[in-house]
Amino acid sequence: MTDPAAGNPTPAHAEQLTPVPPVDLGTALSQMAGLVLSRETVDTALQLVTSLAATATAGTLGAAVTVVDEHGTRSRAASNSATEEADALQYEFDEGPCLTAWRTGEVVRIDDTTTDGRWPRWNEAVSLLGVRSVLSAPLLVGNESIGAMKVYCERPMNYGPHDEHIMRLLAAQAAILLANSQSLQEARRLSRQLTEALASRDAVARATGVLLAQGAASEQEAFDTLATAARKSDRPVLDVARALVSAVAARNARPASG
Amino acid sequence: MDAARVRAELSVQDLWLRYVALGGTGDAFDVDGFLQGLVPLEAFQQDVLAQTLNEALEDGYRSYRISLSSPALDHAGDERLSRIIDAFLDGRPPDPRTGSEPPAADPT
Repeated sequence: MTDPAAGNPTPAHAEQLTPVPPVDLGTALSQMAGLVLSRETVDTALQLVTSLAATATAGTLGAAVTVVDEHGTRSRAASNSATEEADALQYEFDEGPCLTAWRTGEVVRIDDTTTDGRWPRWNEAVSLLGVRSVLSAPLLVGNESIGAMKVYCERPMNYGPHDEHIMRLLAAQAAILLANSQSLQEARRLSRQLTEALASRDAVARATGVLLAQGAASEQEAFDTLATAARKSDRPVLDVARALVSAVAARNARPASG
Repeated sequence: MDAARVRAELSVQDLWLRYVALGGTGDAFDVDGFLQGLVPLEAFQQDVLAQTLNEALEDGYRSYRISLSSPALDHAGDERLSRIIDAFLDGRPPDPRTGSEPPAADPT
């Protein structure tokens, strides 16, 4: 297991269990805050969060983030393949430190997967992958837990209270970031729907105008005419409206056909 | 009417958006209140809302329909539609008072 996390500048294998992590938390946190302003997609956010988690904890082999949305689906980003595999095993067994962190809202630490008895199946499987110690922190937005982020290390006893503290801090920031990215997607979907609704409304209004010019007595009568036509032709009112407006425009384009 | 909304699997918010798209002018509270039988809605707005619900139901129904190998049905609908529209434009000679409108159908 010599695969270092992508972009991990920490000389992880050289130092042994030093209590002081070589980490600039200030930079890490401000980088995340900046992302809210400059980048938008959840994917980018997830990737940044994982690489920051990997950088911010000493000796980390890989990091990953799990986001559980209201439909129970899980999107995830992992900084390397061993991490991804270890994560996949959690979903497969439906047990593991990250799922527990997500469900309970508490930080979970495994000092040695070969001796820890809390998730026997998962521990056994990942120790074969070379994962020995694990630290997982829940992503909390208000009282709601939206997922968990975690770091893995191939040495036992790698993480201590200090790392727990760092992960808690990072997770708090990451949760805000991820929650905002998701609501931005929602906002984008809503604005697309609104734009479509307005375009449709324009078309209906133009068609109503045409019918009024043709002698309809009121907007209501014009609308009812459109609705009747829609029923007769088994089409939505919008289709009728668009067809009517383009038919008028086509006739106007060749005045001889009056 | 609220039963129709539930049947069409629409939230009040989604229904309102569709209703606005057809030219409805009530806000979401008007629509919700009317569906619950709490507030009245003017006849025109009721028509728009009824049409909205019918189209939503039709959409829902259509998604269950099994499509045939030939798209002939669609063309038939197209033709019917264009006949109806021609009837709109030909069948009602424009009132002289609205002379500035469709010159194609204008006698001048």
